[in-house]
Amino acid sequence: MDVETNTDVSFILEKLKIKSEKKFEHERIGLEIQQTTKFYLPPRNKAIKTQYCHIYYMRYLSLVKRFKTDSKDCQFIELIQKIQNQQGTIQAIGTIFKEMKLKPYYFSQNAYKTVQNYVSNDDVCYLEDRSGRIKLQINNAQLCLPNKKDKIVNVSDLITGITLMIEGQIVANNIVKVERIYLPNLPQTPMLKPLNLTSYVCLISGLNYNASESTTKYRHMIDYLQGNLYSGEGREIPYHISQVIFVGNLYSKQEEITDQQTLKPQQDFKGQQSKLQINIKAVDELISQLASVTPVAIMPGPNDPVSQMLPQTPLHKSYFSETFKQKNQLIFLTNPAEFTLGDIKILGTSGQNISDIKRCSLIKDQLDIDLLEMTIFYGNLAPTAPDTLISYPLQNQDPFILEELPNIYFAGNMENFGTKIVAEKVRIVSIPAFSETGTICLINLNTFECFPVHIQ
Amino acid sequence: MAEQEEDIGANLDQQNIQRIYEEQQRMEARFKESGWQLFSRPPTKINASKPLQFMQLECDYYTQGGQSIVRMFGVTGEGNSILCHVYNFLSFFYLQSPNELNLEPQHILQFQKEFNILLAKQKNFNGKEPIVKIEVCQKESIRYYKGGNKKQNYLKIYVVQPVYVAQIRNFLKFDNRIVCDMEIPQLTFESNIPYALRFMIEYDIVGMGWIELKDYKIRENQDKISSCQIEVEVDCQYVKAIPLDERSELAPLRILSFDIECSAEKGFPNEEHDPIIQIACIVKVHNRSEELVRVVFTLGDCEKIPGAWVKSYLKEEELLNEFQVFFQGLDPDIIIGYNIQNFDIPYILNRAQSLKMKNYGKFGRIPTAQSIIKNGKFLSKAMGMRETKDINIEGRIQLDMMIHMMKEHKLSSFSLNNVSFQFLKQQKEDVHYSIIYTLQNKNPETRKRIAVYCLKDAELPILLMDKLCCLYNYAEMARVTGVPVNYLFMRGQQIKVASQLLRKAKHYDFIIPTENFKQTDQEYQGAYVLDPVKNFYKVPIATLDFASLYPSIMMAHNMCYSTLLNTSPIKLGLEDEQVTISPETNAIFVKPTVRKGMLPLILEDLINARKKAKNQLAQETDPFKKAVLDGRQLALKISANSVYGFTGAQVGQLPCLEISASITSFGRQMIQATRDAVLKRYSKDNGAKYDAEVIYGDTDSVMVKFGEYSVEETMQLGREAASFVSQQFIQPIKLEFEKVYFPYLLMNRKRYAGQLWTKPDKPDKIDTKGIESVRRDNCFLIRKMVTEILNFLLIKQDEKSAVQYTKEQIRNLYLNKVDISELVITKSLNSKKDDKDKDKEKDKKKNQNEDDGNKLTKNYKQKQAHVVVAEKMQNRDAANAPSAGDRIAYIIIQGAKGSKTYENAEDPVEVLEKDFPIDFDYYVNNQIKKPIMRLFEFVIPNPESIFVGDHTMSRYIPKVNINSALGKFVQKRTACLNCKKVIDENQALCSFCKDKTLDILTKSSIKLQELQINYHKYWTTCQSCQGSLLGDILCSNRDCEIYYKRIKVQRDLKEKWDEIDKLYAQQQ
Repeated sequence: MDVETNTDVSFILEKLKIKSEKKFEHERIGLEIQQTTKFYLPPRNKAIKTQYCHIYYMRYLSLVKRFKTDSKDCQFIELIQKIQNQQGTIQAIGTIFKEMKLKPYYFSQNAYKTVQNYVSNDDVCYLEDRSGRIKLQINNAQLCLPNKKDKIVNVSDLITGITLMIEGQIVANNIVKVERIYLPNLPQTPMLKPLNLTSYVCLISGLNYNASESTTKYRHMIDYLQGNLYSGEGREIPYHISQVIFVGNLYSKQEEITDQQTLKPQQDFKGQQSKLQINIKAVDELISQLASVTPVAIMPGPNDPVSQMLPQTPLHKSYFSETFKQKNQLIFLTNPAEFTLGDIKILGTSGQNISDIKRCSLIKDQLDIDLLEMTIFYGNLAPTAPDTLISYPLQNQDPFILEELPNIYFAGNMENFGTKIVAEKVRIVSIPAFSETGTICLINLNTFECFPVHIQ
Repeated sequence: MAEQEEDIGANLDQQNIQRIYEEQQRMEARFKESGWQLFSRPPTKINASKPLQFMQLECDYYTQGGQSIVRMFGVTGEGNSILCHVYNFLSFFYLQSPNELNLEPQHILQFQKEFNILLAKQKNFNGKEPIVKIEVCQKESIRYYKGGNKKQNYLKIYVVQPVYVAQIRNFLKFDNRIVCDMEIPQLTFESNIPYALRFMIEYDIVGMGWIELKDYKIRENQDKISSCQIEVEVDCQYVKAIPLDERSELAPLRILSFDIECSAEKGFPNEEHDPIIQIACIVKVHNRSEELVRVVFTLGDCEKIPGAWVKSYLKEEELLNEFQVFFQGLDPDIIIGYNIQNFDIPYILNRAQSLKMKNYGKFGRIPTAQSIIKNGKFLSKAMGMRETKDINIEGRIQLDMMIHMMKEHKLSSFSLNNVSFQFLKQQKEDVHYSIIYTLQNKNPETRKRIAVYCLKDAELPILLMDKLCCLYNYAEMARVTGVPVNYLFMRGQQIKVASQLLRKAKHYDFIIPTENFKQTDQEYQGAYVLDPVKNFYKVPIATLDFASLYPSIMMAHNMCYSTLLNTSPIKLGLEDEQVTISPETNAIFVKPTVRKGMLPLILEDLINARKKAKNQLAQETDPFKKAVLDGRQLALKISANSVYGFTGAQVGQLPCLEISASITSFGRQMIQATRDAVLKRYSKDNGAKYDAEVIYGDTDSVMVKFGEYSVEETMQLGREAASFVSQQFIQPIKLEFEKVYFPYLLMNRKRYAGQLWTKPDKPDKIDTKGIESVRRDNCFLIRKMVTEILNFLLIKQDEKSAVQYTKEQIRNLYLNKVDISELVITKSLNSKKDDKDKDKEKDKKKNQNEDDGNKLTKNYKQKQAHVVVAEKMQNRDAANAPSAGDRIAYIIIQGAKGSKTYENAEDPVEVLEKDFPIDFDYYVNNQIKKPIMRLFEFVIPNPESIFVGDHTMSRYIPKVNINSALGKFVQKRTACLNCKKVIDENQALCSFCKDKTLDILTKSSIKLQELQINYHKYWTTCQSCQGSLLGDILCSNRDCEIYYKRIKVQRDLKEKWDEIDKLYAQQQ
């Protein structure tokens, strides 16, 4: 449950100047990824005319069932009656909408500014369901978590899009002072069927490959994964890696695309594009080497040249023409991605969901891994979509709802590494960007141990 | 003119009283049944032995049994509504006494008797004698200084009923005016004053002022004629006005804001067949921050709304009845809304009539008086002639925020959403009335959607009113000018000055003649404008202003009706230094030492009161009192300025061109004198470093270029010059230094832009006048460009970048890279009738100016682009066609060679959906060129050059469009996404381009991302504007730029994404 002390095995590569020339004769087992269709986009013909409100509605419908309440009058209709009579304690289930003055709203002055954090003291929370909105006064309210560890929360802790039940007092027409907040019950945890032999899945996030900077760490990483780099304790580990997953942001961030016309947009555009193509070629080369020894799967991320709306569509194979020239073991995933390895159910994102929560709330003493845990408690991978997190306007479902818990749940492009077991059986991992930390993560599919490997 | 309308009070006969009582009982019972009594007014507590104080809201009169009774509606400090009946006040007017008349009482009586006989011959005054009393008094006509004390004998003639005053005045126009062998003069004095105002003037009562009653009698419930909580009777002598410095707060007024929604299957709702489906009301007590209650009445069941009462009815009649019960029971003092006067209230009344609801329309405080719509016309300089509807709602004030905005603010669109965007920074959802019909007929959920929207429309007028402090401003205006507050809405500027003049004149025994209108075409020269020295100034320019120019001229030179001479001064024995002769007009006024004028006295009062209010304002901390004081100082300023207008209004009550023409002539002289003084003092000859230049002067200001000084130095010089020049003028004329422009772009008369400084350390803002950046009928692109260019020129002071930017924008336009919403031009569609009226007006003017030779042009009518678009929309979808008053948005598209511009105007939505090519040349040549050329005229040597060169060469070539004429001959074939070569249907790229897949894909992906980001931005912005997460966006607000962007991005995104899907699907 708690963060495990960082590593079971730690490698300090600088000490090892020996470049192993030996090639271990080792048979790797490859596990095949079976992706579910959950994050595949429906045909686009009509969808693009769908509005965002449907997502909220589907979200409300699927989560409202998960609240355990004794009284029947947590429905809004009853609430309105009570508000009209201005009486007593109430309970209500709804979706939070947080009005943020700093949010880059089209008509606001900061429409074109990229603000790092939208939180301000003037933010106001509303609770909404189909019948309307009520204003919430939240001042040190108690948030009751499924893990029985309650928290004290204020407006700045909450975010738009989470569905919850409040308990509080009516203080004025349409204003409720919130005392307690309840989250939906956790969904079912599937049976855990660990692999019966030692096998690792390797998660690498945020290569942010930039050909104009030093690229040796990328080489070292490939070498390590091929089993060519290291011969100390745990040297056999690379040979047990049965799947490498790149969790978003293969390429470095493209220059900011803004709405405003720059003076010479044509040139900029070309420059940006050619830089990107150099990076694409280089990454292709790296992957082609890796894919020759171990199966590789790639998830798209916010920096990659592919649709940005969540769920993101997979990258196109033409970015990896080199890899495909040979016999390859490369597949492309959506983001978020849901798939199985053997009988193990894995769910992961490239991190936009967590970064956006950070932008919309004030995080004190909370690590990335804690936020990841919170999304499980919310029952929703990406609550801030579609409000501040760019997402696809789906009509008949909110794909981000957690209907069933996975065995492993990860998010890429985080600031630091972290891992936990939550809800008794779920291994969650926050994977830091490789370009910043040189860290890759390994999960033992037999023991469910998880540890980082630092490559410098 | 409003003042000439017959002043007829309401009539009340005794039998009604019983009915009123019963009616009132029924209403109250139903009110309680509905559970509204939670929101009733506080119960009354009066002690009849103590004086009673209340604030007046409305004052009018009624007749009962031949007696005229003044009725004052008001609110007490405790928030109780009150009606006060004032008895025994007689209306009167003055007549100059015939010289032969013997002033002994018996002779006067005889005179009165014979006068009555004479009048009886003209008309039967119900068998009564109209004149009841004649008093002799010493008065003087306010017109002209006639020498020292020239008081004369005047007859003060009291009549039984107020209407007789006007009737007698009219009889005196005839020749037969012989009474007791004496000829009575034709000219009457003060015979055109409304009875209620006459009463208020006599007792020093002002509109919205506090009143104290003594010796009053409280009426029992069954004797009441109104729905007010308290009803009292009092003799006029026991009415006393409480001076404003003793009590000035506003009573707790109840404000009800409402909005109705109608549902029409086709077109704009029509009272005859389209029902009222919802009425939303929000009630608030003006000085409390939270609302009292918000209610929405709906036709058909409707889901609950948090914070609001939802009352649903199956029948429209029930809905209307319940609304009336609620309205009466809540008993509002002020009714507000947006366009209620010309739409909502008339619609409710007419609809009730169509439904054959008898006796419906009791919204006033007199339950028997049904509210009736009267068509009126309102003439004002600010708005021109407007048709309005007057609806009588006794005892309550109607404040239509739309009319208020039109009067007080210059906006190009007065739609509620534009107004709320401008003043509240809130975009408002705009649901088209055709969508309302669909929503109404679906389910309780969709009806709730309408209700939420309807409530918002009822809420915005309240927010606007609070934001603009309307209530305080109107109250203070009524108090300053002394007229009942509803005069401010119903009548023009003149009655306000007249009221002040009458009050002032009364103290000095002057009386005011009631003159017939003389239509004259006499015009006098207006203000003086020093020709601008057009240029782009890169040195600080100081602006010297005369503070309240015209009022201070009037005070300085003692200009008034009563100081003007109509004869030479010598005849009156006046020395030269006792008079002032105006320049050019040569009108002669006596100096204050001889006699102080009435107008200067009024102005002095106003200006002193304003000073006092401003001082108090500076010290006050309570926000409500602050609002009152600010409203007062503003009212005082406006009143001071309207005195000049009063003397100059040719169809006014007391026009006097000698005064108004002389005021402007003094103004012109002063501007010139200022220029001369500045030039002389700040010249090299006089030791200055540079020769100063006056580059422009307008009405009350002069712009001075002192030379190459810093902003701080210029400010110093400006201050010095202002005080130096002020010394040359008579008090209280004062030249003030206010601001510096640096840099300053002077393009023409009343057309300039500059960076404004009031403090030397940093500039305040960019200040512009007469520049396209503000006008709304230009497309947004030009407004954006002008603003941006001014930023480059004035803030960054970088002319090169300004030119570069302009060229870049023109290039983007030609390359179709400008957002379509920036090219939308909007004009509001007049009703056909309006157009005809305008044509008539034009014709009239033409006929006046030109000979009949131009008959041909007269009948030829240029078609207007927006009218053509409206017609096109009508043909496409009659149900969603625009109607009169709607703003029509259009875009000019490429048309056939030689076609007229108006033929090529098209609905932007259509342009987006059908991908019509835009006529870029039109935009460059007809929209952008002129204003941009004007900006650059003095900045760069050859502004034409901006419009020629490389950047105009490359053009976007539109795809051949199946919607265009040519498109019909084209067969659609699949083309390579990259090189447009024709390929097989299932392919994306031709065999040659396939090698470049990666290149093409990355390029497309980057574009795709850009579109996705915009898509998300626009749609989430509209979602939050709409005010809920779970509701659809229905808004079709064509005034809002996002509306088009939203639709365009939807199409662009789909197109781009399809392209990418094709690439993905392609086999390698």
